[in-house]
Amino acid sequence: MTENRRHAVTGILLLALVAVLTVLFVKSPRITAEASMRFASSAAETEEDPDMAELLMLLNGE
Amino acid sequence: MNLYSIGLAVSIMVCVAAFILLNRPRTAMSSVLLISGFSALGGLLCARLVYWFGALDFFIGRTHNVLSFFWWTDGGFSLFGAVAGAAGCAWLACRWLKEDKRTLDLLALPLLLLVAEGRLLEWTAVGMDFGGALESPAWLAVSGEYGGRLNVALIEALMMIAVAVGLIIRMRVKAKKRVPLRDTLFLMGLCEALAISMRHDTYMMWGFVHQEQLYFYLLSSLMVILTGFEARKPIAGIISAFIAAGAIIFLEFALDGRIHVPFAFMREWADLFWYGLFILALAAYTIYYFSMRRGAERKRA
Repeated sequence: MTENRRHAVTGILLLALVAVLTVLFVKSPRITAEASMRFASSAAETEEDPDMAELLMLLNGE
Repeated sequence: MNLYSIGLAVSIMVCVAAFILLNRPRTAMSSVLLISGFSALGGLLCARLVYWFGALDFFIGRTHNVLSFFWWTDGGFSLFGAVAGAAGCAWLACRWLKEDKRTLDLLALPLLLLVAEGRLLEWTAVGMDFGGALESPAWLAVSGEYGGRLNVALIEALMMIAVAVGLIIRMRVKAKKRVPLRDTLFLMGLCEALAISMRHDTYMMWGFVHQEQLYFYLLSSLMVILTGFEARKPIAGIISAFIAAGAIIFLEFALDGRIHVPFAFMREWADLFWYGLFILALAAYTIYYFSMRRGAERKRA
């Protein structure tokens, strides 16, 4: 196998790995937005940000 | 499946395709594929690493498990990490392949595209990236269950497009064939440092500072310091980075309401006043950077 071909094959394999990792993420039933919101809510609790506290109250239906 | 995941996959594919298509006429396809592969993988892993590190109290504090780094579906990714990882890994791959440094410049436009896409995705899919209360103008406001908010995501995307257009025009005027990656990272960092200060969400925060704002500022400063070394003015580069850091920290305190505007009649317009100063400070830093860049080019010639 020539060096060029080896580089091309490695590059394609790396891109395939990125595709697999992304597909694993895309196929997931868990919603990232919820997790991000959980992080936001924990930060808001510690920061006592009135804007965020109000937003979270609305999001929680309070 | 969710919009965020699909958007993430599409963004990566679009950027890799843009990199390959931009490269095609010049560099061997084997090198292009290898650099794209390293860059995409490095970008993805660093994006996760920066987010995971920034949210350690969430991941380690609640899960007590270092392997939470690999729980791809919990939390998200940091765009700064994506940019730094993709650029860093492409640089390493170029060095390994002994490719011309100018091959790296072809990463510039795909990275601007990635940040523009990613920011829009943050709002549309995750509901992050919003600013203070704003009802009008309607095109700049986003409405949700919590009323109208400033659409910072849109501002960031427009800034990235403006940087791309500006750099393409500069490339044409200077009769160059590439948009320099260094200039792109410098301007991207400054635009993000300004735009992120408008954000009111609590995504990746330390105290009252968004972590990504700090990282993007450091990225800009790294470019200034590297250019300083090239222009044989390393001390000037480092000092200017410290002065800019001082100005940004002062303005962040001011925008947080900890410093009052100097004149009473301006109190009502305090935010506009401080943002005006912010823009002036960043403009001065940009002018200084490009003058040093010209000096470096002259030295190289």
